[in-house]
Amino acid sequence: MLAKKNPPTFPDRPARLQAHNRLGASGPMPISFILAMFVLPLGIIGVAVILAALSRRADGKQRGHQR
Amino acid sequence: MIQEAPTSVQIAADPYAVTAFLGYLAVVVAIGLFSRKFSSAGVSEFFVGGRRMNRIVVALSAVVSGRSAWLLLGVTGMAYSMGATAVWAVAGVALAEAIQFIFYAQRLRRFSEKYNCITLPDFFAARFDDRNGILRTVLVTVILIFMVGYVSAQLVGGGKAFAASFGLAPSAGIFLTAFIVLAYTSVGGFLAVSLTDTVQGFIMIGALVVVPAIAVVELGGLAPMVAELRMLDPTLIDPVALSAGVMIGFMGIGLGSPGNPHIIVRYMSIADPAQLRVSAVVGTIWNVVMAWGAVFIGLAGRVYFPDVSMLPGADTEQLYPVLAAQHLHPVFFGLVVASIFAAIMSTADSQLLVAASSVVRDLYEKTLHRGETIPQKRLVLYSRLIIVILVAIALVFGMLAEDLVFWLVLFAWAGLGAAIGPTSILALFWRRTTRAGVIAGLLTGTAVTIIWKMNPYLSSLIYELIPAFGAALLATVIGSYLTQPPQDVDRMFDAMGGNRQGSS
Repeated sequence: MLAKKNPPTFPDRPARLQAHNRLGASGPMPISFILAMFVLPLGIIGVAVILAALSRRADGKQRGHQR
Repeated sequence: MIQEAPTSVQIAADPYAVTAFLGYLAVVVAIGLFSRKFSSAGVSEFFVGGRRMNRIVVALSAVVSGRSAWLLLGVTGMAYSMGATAVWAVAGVALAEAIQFIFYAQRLRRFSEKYNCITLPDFFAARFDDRNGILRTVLVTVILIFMVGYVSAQLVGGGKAFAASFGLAPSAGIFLTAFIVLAYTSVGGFLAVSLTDTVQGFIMIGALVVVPAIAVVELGGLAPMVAELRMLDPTLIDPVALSAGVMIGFMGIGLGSPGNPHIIVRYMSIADPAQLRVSAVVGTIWNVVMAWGAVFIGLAGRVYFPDVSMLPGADTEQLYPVLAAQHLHPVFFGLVVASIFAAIMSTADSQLLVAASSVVRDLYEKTLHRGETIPQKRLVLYSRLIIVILVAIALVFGMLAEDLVFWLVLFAWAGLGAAIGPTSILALFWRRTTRAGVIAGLLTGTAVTIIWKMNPYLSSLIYELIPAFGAALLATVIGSYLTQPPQDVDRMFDAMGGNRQGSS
């Protein structure tokens, strides 16, 4: 039993989309969309990983100098 | 059959959903009870977990404390209305917090241990030798005004979420939210808040991955979703369909993070400051996955409900629970509702603890009874009582002065960010910073935020946090140069973890 009162409108959407797909309505995704939705988040995680590695390396060097 | 006419969808309470939600609440309260003994030892345990927190707990509690219902309801609604441009509203925060974890947090944590700081005003007072207490008092005033307003807004938000999800009266929902937060925060202190934040972080990320994934799969995949969005409005899939001012303003939201004490105090609680690097990576992954999940919910939701009138009350912030109710079994829908409360409570509990620490630690112990030895048990008892009083005040504000609460919250993120952000950054990284400079920066940041926000022309140009942050930075630098250089600064910078990051 789903938690809803009125029948939803969404189940018709996939059918409608499939119809569009058959007609070739789904073109390629714009490159700007791919960059913003996939490359940008991966880039931010990459920045965190790189900064963490650089910080660790800098601390290691500093300890080396202190010895 | 394709239904072209907009039809509003309503959510109703379901026994399975209610049971799942109650299970979540039981876990939260149990954590509060579990943490009671540890947190009763003293104010350090009660307010910063005795600086013994694990790197993952710190990562998740810092991230989810900063992400209130704004992420789950606001960003999903923003992406529904504005499309892919909503990514800029979350990108700035994720990037700022990644940098903050690595550079800012380590120095603050090391200094805090050396000088026994358990609140942010403690840090400023120690860093600037605030003997007459003026700096501490200015900070406490700013923090209390915004934090009580913030907590109040979270309680009101919780009440509305209860009303929308389970059909409760909003006032009953506000009381229930207040009672739950009060129960585990006053009993379990920082440990309970951090552990519940961690559980809540898992619930939030789970919901923000599962809901958009199912919604997009049921649409036939990403390509059909994008094609449909293109047909509805091509700008929905154009992430740069914004003016430069708006885009910079969106990115600038991240400048608020280093100034919001309920986020910063998490850094002070980690057992080993070197482990903040791991927290940075884990926290950034959490931030990014949750944020982009919210944007995908908005985009998929626009395809399911092309007209806003199809949503309850034509409110875009209802998209997330409605989409979840449509796609998930009621048990999982109950967990999605739990994720909304997780966002609300994880923010409210942290803000409540910061406000209570300002009263007990900064006002009572360090200002009114400065130099006296007060038994730790008594301070913990006072802290618990103050939490009860603060919740009562927040409730009164939320029930009787909702307009005032939302007026305060409008300024809270930007006001705290602009006042405390630049001053704390300079305090950590610039040796020449002086106490007078910091006071000038705190007052300038708060004032510029309010003036900018209240001027329709200025606020239409750019988000107030950005000019206010810049003005506070400038005021701190000018104020510092106009006053005598601070004494003993080398020893302080050594306490932060070495001289290599400081400059004179």
